[in-house]
Amino acid sequence: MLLKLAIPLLILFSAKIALSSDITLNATVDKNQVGLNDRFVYTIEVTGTSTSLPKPQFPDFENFSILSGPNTSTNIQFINGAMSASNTYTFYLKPQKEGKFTITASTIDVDAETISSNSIEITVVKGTAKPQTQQQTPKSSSDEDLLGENLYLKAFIDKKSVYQNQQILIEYKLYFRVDVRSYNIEKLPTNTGFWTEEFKLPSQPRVSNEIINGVTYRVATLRKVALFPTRSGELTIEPMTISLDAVVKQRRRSRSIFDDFFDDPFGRTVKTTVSSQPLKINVKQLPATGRPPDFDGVVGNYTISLNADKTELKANEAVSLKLTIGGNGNIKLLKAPKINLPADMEIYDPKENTSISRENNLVSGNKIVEYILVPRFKGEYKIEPVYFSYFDPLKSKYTTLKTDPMVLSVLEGDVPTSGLLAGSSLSKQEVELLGQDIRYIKENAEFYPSGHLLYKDWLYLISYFIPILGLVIAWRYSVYRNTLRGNIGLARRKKAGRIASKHLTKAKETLKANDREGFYRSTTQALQGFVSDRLNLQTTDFSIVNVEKDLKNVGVGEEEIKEYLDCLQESDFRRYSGSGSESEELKTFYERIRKILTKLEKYI
Amino acid sequence: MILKFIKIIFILIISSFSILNAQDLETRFNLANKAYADGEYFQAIEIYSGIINEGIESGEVYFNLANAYYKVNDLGRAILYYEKARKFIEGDPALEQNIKLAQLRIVDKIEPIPELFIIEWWSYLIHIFSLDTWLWSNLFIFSILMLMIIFQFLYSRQFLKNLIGTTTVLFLLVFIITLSVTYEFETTKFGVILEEKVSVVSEPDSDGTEVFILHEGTKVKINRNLDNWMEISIPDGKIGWLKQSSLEII
Repeated sequence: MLLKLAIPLLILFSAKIALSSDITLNATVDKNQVGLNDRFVYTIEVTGTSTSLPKPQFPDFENFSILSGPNTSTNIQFINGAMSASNTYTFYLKPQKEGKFTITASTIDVDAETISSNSIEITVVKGTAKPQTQQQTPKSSSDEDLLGENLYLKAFIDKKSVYQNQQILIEYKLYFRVDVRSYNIEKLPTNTGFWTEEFKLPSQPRVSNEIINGVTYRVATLRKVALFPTRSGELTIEPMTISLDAVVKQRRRSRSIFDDFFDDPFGRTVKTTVSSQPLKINVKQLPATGRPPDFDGVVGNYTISLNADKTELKANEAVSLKLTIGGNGNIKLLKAPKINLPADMEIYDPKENTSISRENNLVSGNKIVEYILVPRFKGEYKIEPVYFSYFDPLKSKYTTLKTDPMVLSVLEGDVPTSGLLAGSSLSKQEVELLGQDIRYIKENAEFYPSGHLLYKDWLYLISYFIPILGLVIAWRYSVYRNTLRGNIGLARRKKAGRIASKHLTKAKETLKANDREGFYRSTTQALQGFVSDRLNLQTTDFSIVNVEKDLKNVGVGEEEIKEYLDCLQESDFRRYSGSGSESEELKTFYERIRKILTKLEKYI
Repeated sequence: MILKFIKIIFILIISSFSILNAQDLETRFNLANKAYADGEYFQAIEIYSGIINEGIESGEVYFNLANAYYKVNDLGRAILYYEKARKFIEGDPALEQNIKLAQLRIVDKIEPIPELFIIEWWSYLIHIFSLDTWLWSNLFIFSILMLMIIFQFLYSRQFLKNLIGTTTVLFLLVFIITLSVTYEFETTKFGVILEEKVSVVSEPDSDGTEVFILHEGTKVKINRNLDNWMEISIPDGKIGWLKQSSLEII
């Protein structure tokens, strides 16, 4: 213990203006484990902002005998104009018997308030206590043995049970009570199953004091990491090993006076390695209940926003759309949700920018995804809200964030957009066509009243009745002409069929009666009568030559005329000759006549 | 007697007025043509539009107006008026070429669903001529047919009989085409998108899901109206709703 200034006790009582809140009491021992024959140091430190610190009420040191003390020392410091003072009371104690004893707390009464220090537990063993290794310490060398509990590395974990992807903070702290010259990280743990984010620490570790079970240690944080477990289950964090040069103060028994001389007056440097303890972490799976469908394994606490650098622009101008996700969690591994962008914009590949800060033992940061869009056409472009889901491990529940909907109003651009810009493919023929200009305007026009529909125009519709009217007139005229020619022709024509069929019926009757001559008479009458009635011919004019000419005139076919004339001649011939008297023959002839008359009916 | 006199006067006034009007239209049409020839397209557009706004329709005015819009890069209106001109001068080679050129320059290239060849063939056939041309052809063939029958009544001739048969078949074909073109004209309405870009949504509501996007100059078929929304379909079979204001009916 370094005493900078010693001041008589009197001064302590000269002024009692100390404020209770400023005063702290701290009790420490130089070791917790002592031999029955050993002595140890018990120190009470009173610190405050005033020089007149009150004297504490010392414990009664049961089971211990006071070898010396209290020895007082005072320390006053001015830092940036603020004064701090401390009084240190030191006792040299010797245990009276073996066992576990507690040195009760010292107290100070200030303004009716009692401030008490910590109590300290002391284990008294037989003889001289051997330092026990509290942590894993190599025991290869006697020098290292000497270090004992004076030097160890410990890993601290902020939580033992976490969700997948939830941040775990691990601090590797070196506790030492000997001077440490330098250290080197020998082996960094390979943390399989974890994503590691290292916190930045000053290159020269900051050393602070920490009292562990009454013993003051100097503590340096050598490494601080955030781990994100990437899978669930029981995961082990491997130990970290460092090698360091420590100074051992205890001297060896000297064999010669020269050895003493060459010994470092402040102790000898010893190379040693220390390792932290392995840690076990229980990684829980994310709950299945309430999991949003778009959940992508993101754990932490986030905010999301969507911003455009402008919402009103001209066509063919670029607009930058920024999607920002910020918060605590494993930002680096986070996948930004996709933005549903309108289909007919030119969209460039998004730029992604991740910035991470590791402050206040938390990994946090921003992920900014920037889209550059070039709308090609005038109009309102609606940008759908972006949804982003994450699991909040502190609240143990899922949260879905949504950005505000956004509308980009695109005004007409300076340069007209033609369809070709949109990257349409054209055939060769089309390209050739495109090289041409449009055809020139028309010079003569026809004008119609608006909404004019030809098919509803009465003039148009009436036009249909003109030919119909003409038809009716023509029909009436032909009827009139026929009457003028006399009704006989018309009457004969109309009756022709009936008379012919009468003759045929008669022929059939004569056939049954076996009257051969009568049969041929009837058939001749049917053949002759039908044509002469139809064509309004006089019986006196009737001759083969005349009939042939007349039939040709009305357009009767060559074959039909020939057949008709054949029939007529045969009928005439048989009537007066004796041939063709068989009943079968008569029947076929009858059929022939029927057929040719039916055919002729179509023509005339 | 007095009544008859008044009637004649009235008819005279109306006819003289309409003649005067027609002459006026002719002058304005020529004026617009001159503006177009001088490259004063906006002026030409103004005059052509003025003629149309007076309740006059003309295939040629529509054609020229469309040309002027084409020249000032307003493709939506260019296509609209070319399509309107079709009603009067369908099949005109200049119109066909200009429409093709304008359609090349618009954004939407819609691939029509291939149809049964016979339907395609029929659709091609009935659109060879404009409705009016079909109507006139129908009247013409009908008159010819009637004339033939009249001759047949008066001078019954065999060759005329055969000719009447063929002409009847031809008339029936033209009649059926004319009927179907008229029916199509009466029942199906088309529109042209005039907004540069328009979202077609799934229901007649601004919050409807966007189904597809159409751009200026695209011709769509109008299926039905609801308030100021229209259900439209495009040749590739897609159907959706858009605001009435984003298109103009042909």
